[in-house]
Amino acid sequence: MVDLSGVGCMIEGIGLKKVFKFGILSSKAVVAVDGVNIRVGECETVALVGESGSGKSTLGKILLMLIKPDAGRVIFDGKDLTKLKGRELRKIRAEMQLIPQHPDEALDPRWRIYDSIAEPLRIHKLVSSRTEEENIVFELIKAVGLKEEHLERYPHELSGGELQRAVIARALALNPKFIVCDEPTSMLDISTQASIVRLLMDMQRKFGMSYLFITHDLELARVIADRILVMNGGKIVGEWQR
Amino acid sequence: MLKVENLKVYFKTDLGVVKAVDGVDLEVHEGERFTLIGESGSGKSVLAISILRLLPKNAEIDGRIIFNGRNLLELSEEEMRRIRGRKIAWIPQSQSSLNPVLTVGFQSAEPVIEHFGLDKKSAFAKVLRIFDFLGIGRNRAKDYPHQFSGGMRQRVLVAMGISTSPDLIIADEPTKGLDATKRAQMVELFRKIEDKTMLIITHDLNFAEKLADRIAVMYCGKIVEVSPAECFFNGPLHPYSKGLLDSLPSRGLKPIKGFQPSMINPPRGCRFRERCEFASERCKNEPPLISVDGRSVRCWLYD
Repeated sequence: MVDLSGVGCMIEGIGLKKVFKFGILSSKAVVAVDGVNIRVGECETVALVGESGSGKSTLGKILLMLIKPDAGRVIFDGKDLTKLKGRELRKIRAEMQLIPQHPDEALDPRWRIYDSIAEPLRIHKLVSSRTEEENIVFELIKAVGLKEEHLERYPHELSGGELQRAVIARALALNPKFIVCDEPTSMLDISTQASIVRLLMDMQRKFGMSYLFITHDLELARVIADRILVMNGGKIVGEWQR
Repeated sequence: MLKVENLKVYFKTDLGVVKAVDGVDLEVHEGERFTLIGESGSGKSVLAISILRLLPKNAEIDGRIIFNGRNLLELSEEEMRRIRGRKIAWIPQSQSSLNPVLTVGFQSAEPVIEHFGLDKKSAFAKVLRIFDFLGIGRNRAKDYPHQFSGGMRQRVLVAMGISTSPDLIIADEPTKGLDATKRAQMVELFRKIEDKTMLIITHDLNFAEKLADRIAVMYCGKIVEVSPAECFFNGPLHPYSKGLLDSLPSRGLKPIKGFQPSMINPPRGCRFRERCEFASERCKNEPPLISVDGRSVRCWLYD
């Protein structure tokens, strides 16, 4: 394993396993994640690469507890997330976010961009007045390079790159410590990809969060990551360190 | 083989006229792999669709598309039907381009039956040979599309495209939605059918680099550069081409500043002017396509 002494550990997965069963009569099963140990340090970017179907997205979602693992533990902030329930887990969720692959599916098509970005603030009751909320939202969109006019629009009125910026703004709204970026640029054009990746790197420098960056683009992984983990058939089969 | 002259495709919408293709000239030679690159919204797919005359009804099309000596825009719908699939094949993006309730073998045999009048059995036999050739395997011909992975489905689409031995193949973003290993396999696959004349539309620059003989770059409805592939990747001419290459992770991951302008009211003069670091007073006038050592570029820097 990598020497992380001197660097605090942000999130750790120990012995994670997930089996998806399907079929009512026949009981078929796919082992998506098969006994994985993973650590992401503070301010660290770990890239998780692998073919489609290798279990990288499932692993990312397990770390966020969006999928409950069949076995293993997820340690975040000194707590075992697999043991937490309801309210406690929801509180922790504010500190970890997901930036998904399809920004168009991640935003409610009937909501204005403003409401989508403000929603996490409302859910976690972090603002007491409308003006306070507006100030935070305006600050966020400035940080991700959107304009105020975008806030009044609906998702279908924005381009792919703009949508992904809006999703990033929403993810940043709660000052998370850990973000899983699940192929955030694979649906975007090459020059848009460059600007979104630059934006994510700038945000990390500014706010100091950790990333688990899921991608199948090895070139991209090599440019952005401190460490690269290679996943195949539900297991981590290789590691590369900058 | 294929010559497009001053092609214009305008769409009438509620917001105004979208000039998706605005005066494009290009020539695809026999036996070459001509690759059209550009960002989404640059008009490259519309250009390809207009060659097959499959544009929606609100489109207005003007110019000439000469294919084997005939202007496709003047043909009747019936004559066009005999060209589509038979002379010019279309390989669409893998997403939902196959009929979910027919076996892939039957779907691939359909164009052969339709265009050559073969009976089902011999058409199927032909398809099985192509399946073997492309590495799909003849035993999978009776499977349905949902039983295939994304990469395999793309192979089936290629099989369908080449089943009629067309003169020209147009492939629309054949690597979209595929992961790195599948993309490499797709390069192999396209090399297998390299005797064909191809017009490949993509924004996957790595794919273009491995396959293309010549590259055309499209920006905002116009072709801004045409170069042999090797020259292009070693030294692009147009500032926009440079910007595109520099935004690759392996070449510095530098985004192009600004955004693509609206196609309803594109800026006058050079359309890349507002995002270009070399822009000058001259760029307020539309630059012509200038020839430089057998390459062409639409930029005043080379005048």
